[in-house]
Amino acid sequence: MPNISYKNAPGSGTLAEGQAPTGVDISENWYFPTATGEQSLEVINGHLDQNNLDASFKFNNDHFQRGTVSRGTMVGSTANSDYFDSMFTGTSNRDIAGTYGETDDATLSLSSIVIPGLSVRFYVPYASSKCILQWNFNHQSDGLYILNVIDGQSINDTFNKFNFPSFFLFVDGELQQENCRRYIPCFGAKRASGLASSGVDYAYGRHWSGHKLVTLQKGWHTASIRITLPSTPGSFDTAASTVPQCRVRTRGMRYILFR
Amino acid sequence: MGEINYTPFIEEEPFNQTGLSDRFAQLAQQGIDDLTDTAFQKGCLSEEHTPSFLSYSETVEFGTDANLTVSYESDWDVAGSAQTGLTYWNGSTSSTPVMNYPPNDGVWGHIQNGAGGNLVATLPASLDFTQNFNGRYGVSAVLVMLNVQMERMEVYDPANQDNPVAPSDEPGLAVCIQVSDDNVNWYHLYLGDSQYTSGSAAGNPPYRYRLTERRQGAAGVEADYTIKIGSDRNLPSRRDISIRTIINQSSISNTVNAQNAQGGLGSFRYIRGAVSVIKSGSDYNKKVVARIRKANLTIMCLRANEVNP
Repeated sequence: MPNISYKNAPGSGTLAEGQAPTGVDISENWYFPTATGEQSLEVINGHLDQNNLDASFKFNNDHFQRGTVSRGTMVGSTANSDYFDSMFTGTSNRDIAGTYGETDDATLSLSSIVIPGLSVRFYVPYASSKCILQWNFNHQSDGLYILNVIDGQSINDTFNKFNFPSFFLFVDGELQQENCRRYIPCFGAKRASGLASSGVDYAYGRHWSGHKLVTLQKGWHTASIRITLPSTPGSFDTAASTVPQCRVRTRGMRYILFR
Repeated sequence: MGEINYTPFIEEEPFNQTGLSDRFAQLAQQGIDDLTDTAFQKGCLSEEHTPSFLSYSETVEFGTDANLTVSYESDWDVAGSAQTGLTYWNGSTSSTPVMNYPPNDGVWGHIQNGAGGNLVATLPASLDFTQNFNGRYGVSAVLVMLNVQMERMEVYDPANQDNPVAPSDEPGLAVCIQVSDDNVNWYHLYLGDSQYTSGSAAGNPPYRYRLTERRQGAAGVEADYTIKIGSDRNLPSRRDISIRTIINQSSISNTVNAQNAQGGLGSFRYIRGAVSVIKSGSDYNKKVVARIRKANLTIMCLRANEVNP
C-alpha cells in the first residue's frame, strides 16, 4: 500500500481555487474505504506499510515488543551427575553385523535416559518457527581401555574399544541421527606386568558442544540429551562391553526461537 | 515529520483552496506518508507487524554410518617427493611443517556422506552484503554453525603398498568453514586485521589467520592403536569439533585472491564445512587417512542489523 493519493485531489477539481466543494468532496478525503485504503485518511485503518516510512527511518530494538520476533532460555547444572551401568537395561555395544562391529545408534538409544541439565521443555507461541538448540557438556567414564589382567580374570586384551558411553539428542521424543555420539574408554587398568592401574585418563573424556536446527509448530516441545551405558559382562571375545560408571560434568542446553 | 501537526481553521478564516490543501497535506504527507521515530512508541511493533528475523535458513545433516566409508586422504608421491590429496602442510617435503601461501594454505575438501552428498548449504541467490542489499529489508549477516565428530586417524606407508604402519607422531585433522560463489572455487574466512606474512613459511601456520579453522589430533592410545586397521585393538578418537561464526560484509572483503590480495570474493552463495589432514613431523611422507562419523551444518540469514541503527 503506497502513500495517500486523495480521492479528491487538493487544488484540483472541486477543490481547485474558486470551485465549490460539497461536504461529500471533503468527507471522501477523510474517509473513503477501499481494499488498499490509499485514497483517504482511512489508510491508517490497517493499510500502513513500508511505503509510509520516511526513507531515512529504521526501526530499532526498542520498537519491538519482547518475544515477538524471538525468544529463548537456557537450563544448566554444574553438579556432577553420575551414571552407573545398573541403571540401564544392558544393551550391548557389540554387534558383529554393525559398522566396526558395533551396535547402531537407534538400538543403543532405546535404553537411554534423560540427563538433568541437558533437557528443556518449552512453549512455541508462533505458528511456525525455526528453533536452534544448543548444548554442551563433558564426561569421563571408567570403561577400560587396557585389559591385560584385572582382578584375576583372564581377559582378552583386544576388545577394549567396545567399552564406551553413548549420548543422543531427542527432539519431541524422536532420535536425531546426526546428533548421536559414542566415545571411547577412559580407564587405564592394571597391567599384566604388575604396574598399578593408571585410573581414569582425563585426556580420553570428551566434550560435546552441539547444535540442531528444527522447525517447530505452535505448542509445547521437548529436547534432551540422553545417555546409555553398556552392561553386558561375559566372554570378552564374544559379547562383553561394560562401562561401570560415567560422570557427566558441567552441562547446559538452550533454545532460541525465531518466528 | 512523522506526526500530525494539524492547524485548525479559526473563526473567520477563509475556507479556500490554500487552506484546505494545507490541512490535507498536514494530515497525509506530514502525518502518514513520511513516518519517523516520533510516530512510533517504544514496543509498538508486535508479532503481526514484523517479518521474521530470518530471511532464509538451511541445515545439512550427515547422520548415517555411510559417512565412515569416506576416506579423507593426505598422500605422499614417493617418486615425485611431493604431497598429494587433502594435505594441511601442503608445502612440506621434510619433517618441517610447511604450508603454501594463501589462498593455497592447505588443501581442503568437502565433508561427504558416502552417498554423493557434500556438506554444503546453498543460498537462494548470491549475497554481496552491499549497501542496497544490506538495507532495510536485506540480509545483514549469515550465522553459521558447524559440528563434526572425527572418528579416527589411520596411517599407511605409501612406499609399501599402503600397508598400515605405526605413526611417528600424532596425526590429526583440521576443519573449517569456507564460502564460494560457484561451488567450485572455495575461500577461507580470514581475520580482518591478520597480516600476510612473507618470507619463510617453516612452522608458521597462519600467514593469514583462518578465522574458522579448528584442529584436532589423535593422541596417546588413539594414535597408538588407530593405525592397526585389521586389529580389534582399534581405539578411535571420536573428538568433536564445534565452530560458530558470523559471515558479514567484512568477511567477504577479507577473502584473498590468487595474488594473496584481499577482496578475492565479491559475493557468495555456497557455504561448506571443509576438511584437511594434518601429518605431523616425520609422518610427512606417509599416507594419513581421516574418518568422520557425524557432521551437521546450519546457516541462518539474519535480517537484523548487527548494530542498532
